[in-house]
Amino acid sequence: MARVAAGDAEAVRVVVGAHLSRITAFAARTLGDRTEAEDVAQETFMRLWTHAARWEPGRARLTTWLHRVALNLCLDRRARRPHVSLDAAPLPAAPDTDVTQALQAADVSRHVRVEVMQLAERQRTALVLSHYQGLSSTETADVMAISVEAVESLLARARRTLRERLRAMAPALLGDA
Amino acid sequence: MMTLDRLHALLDAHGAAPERWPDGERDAALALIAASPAARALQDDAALLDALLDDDVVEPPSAALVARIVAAAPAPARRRARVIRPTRWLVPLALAAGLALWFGRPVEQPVPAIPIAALGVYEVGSDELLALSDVEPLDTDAWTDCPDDVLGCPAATPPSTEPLSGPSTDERRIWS
Repeated sequence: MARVAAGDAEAVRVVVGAHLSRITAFAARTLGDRTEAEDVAQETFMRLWTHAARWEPGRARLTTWLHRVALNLCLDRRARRPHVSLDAAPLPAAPDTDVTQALQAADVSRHVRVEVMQLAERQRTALVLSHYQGLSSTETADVMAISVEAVESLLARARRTLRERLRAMAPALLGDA
Repeated sequence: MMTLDRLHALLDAHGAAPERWPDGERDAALALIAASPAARALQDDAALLDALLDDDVVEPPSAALVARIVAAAPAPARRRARVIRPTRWLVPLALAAGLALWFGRPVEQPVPAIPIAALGVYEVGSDELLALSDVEPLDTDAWTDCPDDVLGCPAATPPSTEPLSGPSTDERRIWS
């Protein structure tokens, strides 16, 4: 980060290459909106550039720091949204056979994303940080400012909820057990 | 001790991939899976959900976003322009000139030593010389053209032989 603060173009390229995709994906999965996700990613890196000269090695991992900043920005945006939160939105109606077939044919990815977005906010954040972002339970707990035990509880509830909903939508995908 | 219940909790929280499990429980969980078909079934079930989750791939950031972020990164410190600033050079220049003048000054010719005896010896003190002229040392102030317009000046009369009012004899002793 000292090289970044000194204006080393190569260091900037390495940091952007290593983290921008992940932060953008994290914001996209948290907000469900690609344009807003890019805005959050940009703002996150603006804060990193501003903070670079004061960066203290060893105090926080860059990955953790970036996710924490991005999460706060996402939560701010969600709090300012005028419409009803997805967490409070009614669950989608049970699909009929045609929907199931369409899901199995080509729309699995989109449907999974919708179901992830329907999770309670803290469950979704824990799942995205852990499963998609690859953070450990300790790092996830650090980003969310909660205990490791709380992270594992949120993760377990998130995965159980997803399994039930996706199995209801597409039994063949998750088996009938 | 890893149990089926604990393995179930691990799979619920972290999924089927062992690398996501806590370091302290991974070996025990793998041993249980290797030994128990029920444990293996739990892991397979968790793997199905993992596969569904992994189907959701987010597009990489746009090139425009990358360009905006890189453009806003800290810029390298610009090399200072080579501007000749007089104040930067004047001080050392003045010091150098001063030293040059000092070391380059003409060497003073030594003053020839005059034997002290050639100057003679003053054997009579100043007081005694004044006593011979009958003049009081404290009476030697100028009388005319007095410029003191604050304290004023004595009347412009010719000096008299009478002593001026001034310190007493004892005080004069102190002053003399």
